[in-house]
Amino acid sequence: MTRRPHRPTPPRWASRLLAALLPWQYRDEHLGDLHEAFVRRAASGRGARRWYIRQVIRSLPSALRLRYQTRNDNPSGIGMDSFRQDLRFGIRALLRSPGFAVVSTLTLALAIGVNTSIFSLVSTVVFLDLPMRETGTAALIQGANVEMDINQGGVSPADYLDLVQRTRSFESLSALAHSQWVLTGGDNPIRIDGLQFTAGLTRTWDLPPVLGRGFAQGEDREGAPPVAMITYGYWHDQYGGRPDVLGRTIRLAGVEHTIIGVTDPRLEVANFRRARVITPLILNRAQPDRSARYLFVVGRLEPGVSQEAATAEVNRIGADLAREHPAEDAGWRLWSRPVRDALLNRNDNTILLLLSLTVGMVILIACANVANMLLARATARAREMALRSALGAGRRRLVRQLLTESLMISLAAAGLGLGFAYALNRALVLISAGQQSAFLMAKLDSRVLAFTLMVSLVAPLAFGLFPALRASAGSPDAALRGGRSVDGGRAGKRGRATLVTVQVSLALTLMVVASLLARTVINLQTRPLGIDAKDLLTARIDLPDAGYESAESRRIFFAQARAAAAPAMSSDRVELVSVLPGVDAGRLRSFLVEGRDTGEGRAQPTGLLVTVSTGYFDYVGMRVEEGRGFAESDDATSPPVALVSRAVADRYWPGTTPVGQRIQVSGDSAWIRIVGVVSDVRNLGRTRQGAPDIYRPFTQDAQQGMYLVARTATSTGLVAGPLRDAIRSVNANQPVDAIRTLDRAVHESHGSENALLTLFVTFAVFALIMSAMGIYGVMSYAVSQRRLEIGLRMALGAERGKVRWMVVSQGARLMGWGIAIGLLASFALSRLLANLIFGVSTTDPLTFIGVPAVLILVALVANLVPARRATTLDPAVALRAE
Amino acid sequence: MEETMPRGDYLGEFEQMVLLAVARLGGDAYGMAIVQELAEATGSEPAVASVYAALDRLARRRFVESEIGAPTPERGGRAKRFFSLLPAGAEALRRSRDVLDTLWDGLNLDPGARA
Repeated sequence: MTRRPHRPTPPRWASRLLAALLPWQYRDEHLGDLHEAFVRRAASGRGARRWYIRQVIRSLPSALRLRYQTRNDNPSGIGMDSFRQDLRFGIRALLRSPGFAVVSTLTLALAIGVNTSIFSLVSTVVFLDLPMRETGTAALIQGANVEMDINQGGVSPADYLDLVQRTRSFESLSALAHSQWVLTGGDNPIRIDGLQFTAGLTRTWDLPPVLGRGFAQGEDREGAPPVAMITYGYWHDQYGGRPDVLGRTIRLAGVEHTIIGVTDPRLEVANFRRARVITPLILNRAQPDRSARYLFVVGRLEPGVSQEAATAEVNRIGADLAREHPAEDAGWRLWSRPVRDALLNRNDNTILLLLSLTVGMVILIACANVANMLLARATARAREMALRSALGAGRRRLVRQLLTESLMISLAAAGLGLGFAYALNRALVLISAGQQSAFLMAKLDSRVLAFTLMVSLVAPLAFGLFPALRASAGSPDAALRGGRSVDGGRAGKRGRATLVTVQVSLALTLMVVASLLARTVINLQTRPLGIDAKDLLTARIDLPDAGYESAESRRIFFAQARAAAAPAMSSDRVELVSVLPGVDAGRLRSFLVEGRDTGEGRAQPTGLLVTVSTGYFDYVGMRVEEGRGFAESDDATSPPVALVSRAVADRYWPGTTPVGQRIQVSGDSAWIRIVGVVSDVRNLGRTRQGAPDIYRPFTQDAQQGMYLVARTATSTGLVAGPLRDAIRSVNANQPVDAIRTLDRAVHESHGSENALLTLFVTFAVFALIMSAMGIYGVMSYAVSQRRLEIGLRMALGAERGKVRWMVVSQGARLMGWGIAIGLLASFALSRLLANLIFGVSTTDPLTFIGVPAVLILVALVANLVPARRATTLDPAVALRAE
Repeated sequence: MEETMPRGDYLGEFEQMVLLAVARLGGDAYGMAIVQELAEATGSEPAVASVYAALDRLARRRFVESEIGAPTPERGGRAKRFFSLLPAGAEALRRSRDVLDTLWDGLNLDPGARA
């Protein structure tokens, strides 16, 4: 029996183990030495394997020591030199394929841009620096009315004063209200925003003035000498930050106020940031109207009292007040909540979550696309990689090289993306018309920059690692011989197909969200306005307290103003209204119906008080549906009258008519007779019902602030100057604000909705383009890979149509999966939207059929281009190319 | 390049032995040959890696230098690294020997000679 000659080899595991531990400098020679001795021993049959294993094990400590000794010298390995080399190679590689470099950088830049922009919004809200210290022991006290769907209302002055008296949980309470002032003393009278503080507010909020002092006890009483604080921003803008501002006076509404302090700059957040001056909030028992809930109340907890205990006490006091003052407080509850929780409402939270999810998807889609491009490129570079590998570059080195390239793309994209984010933030401010303070406040601060940097460092791992591992995995042998197997084989194709599927499903989800939001916005904005807005020009006049204390003086002013404004506005008539339909809401008041008992614990009927001039309804095209409109005879001396809107009549007088009934509006003892029902105007809330308006004639209810409304074909720009002059001819100190068409005003009031919609549509379009590019990339790559096969088929007489179908159906399979997964994800996500959408179901068939249809259409086009290319291929050329 | 070992003027015993083996082997001083030389002299075979560790330290002190030879089939296609003694290495060996000679001079450690 002859034995086959057998060449002995040392145990693989042992040599592998040693190779792993030895530093590369001594790896080859060491293993070579062992191998040589092993072969010699094996030849003489002297337990070669045992010897080898013993040698390896005894060598391990020294191998480690050797590695330690050589840890710092790296002629070609790890270190700064090689990083520089990677960079140089990377730049060269990217310059060699500028198309790839530009497209992938732009793709990522867009994605990083929107991510940065949205993060700046989210961080503004989430990390909102509240203008108070120790927010843990501060609570916001708010009114809520379940029936009217008000969660975060204010508190009325009388309720506030009772609360201050009764509470044991709070060491101090403070109230704040917004106000507006006419500032005179400069060239023109101007209107500025202000805040009113109770005396203890700066202490309760723990926000001491940066200069001077806050309001002292007694300064918030009627008859105290007028004093004011100014905000930090106004101090710098107007007084150059000079300390001698203290003691100067500022003329507000015709009264000189002494400046006593400058507030902390932290006050200037959210909707406080428009304020310039702060005056004492004067509260007294003489303001009995508990339904005027306009105070923003903050309390500081007694040491040792928990937020929960405070909430329970505030709840109890609220319930007591509702019992004691059923006419106004029935149905209302008082809540106390930790400040931070209270300032974020539920819908805002949903929007933020939705935005974060969405931008997350956008960046995933972008990464998938770049990964796809890299995978395709990996094929093209297989030879380069193989060559470098054959020349001694380790796999880790190759991966590092490829990741360096990815990182360069990503960092360039981050730079571009920051610019894009800046532009997007500006655009959002413009589109939202300053309606959403988060847009105004969103800044690219250091937190945002850190976020962007992090994204751009993590992204290359997401989109670059897999392609890099793929590219470096090929065997140099096969690649250099130029075999067809270098495209990564089946696994590579499957990788790209998965990426496209993911892209399609993400794009579909985004498009569904955008579609639902678009339909919501359209539904909201196409509800009938209720008036004929054509050519309606509006301007706001707010009279100061001083000089206009009497109703008569206000009637005289507005009569003169109407007369003077008509020629200036090129109109024959000017009418008055206290709030513009579709833009702002009237004063919320509860009312009693004569002879009707509301019932224990039920909320009082409520309406929004709107004051109009006698001819207003007729002029703007509102119909008097029952009873009569206002007449010249309804004046200050005749019995008080009102009209109610159709919505109010239907709600509180269902099946009957309110005409002839009398109501008593809270805060006013007079009984008012309802003389008619007028057609509805658009509700500002998310409902199809009209606004619950109660109209009073200006002759009987002369308000200080009214809009002038005139129909004119002249443009706003031409009217503004003459109108201001006309009003100044009536009162030289009276400014005119908000000169704009009603259409413009309505549009501005939808600003934040439009901005949000713009965002989501942008995301959706971006996602659609990305996935179309993804499909195109994969399919044209697949076609180029199958050139030989297609050429053969055509040469053998296959029909063009069949070949084209073969290609298209391959792409369709990818899409089918993407759409199926995307639909499932959309259904899940649309639940989140339930509170945000209006007039459309979360499973809206139009959306869930239309969106996939659009996606399929776009994808088919992206698919047909490579398919056409496949069939127009000249078989001869295709075959010769091999 | 950083000096990783403490800069001593003297050689350790194992370093001395490795250095002497390199010197004795002349132009044929590669890993396995040095190991065998040491094995014959001491009667026990050192781990190959410990020899390389010593040679690496010696190379850092400029006592030896090395160059890569050609790969051969009996080594599994791997090359040999040949070490050769540098003048500083020879000087170090001589100095060590001088120091030892000086210390040994006149000393008798036989048990009978101690009294």
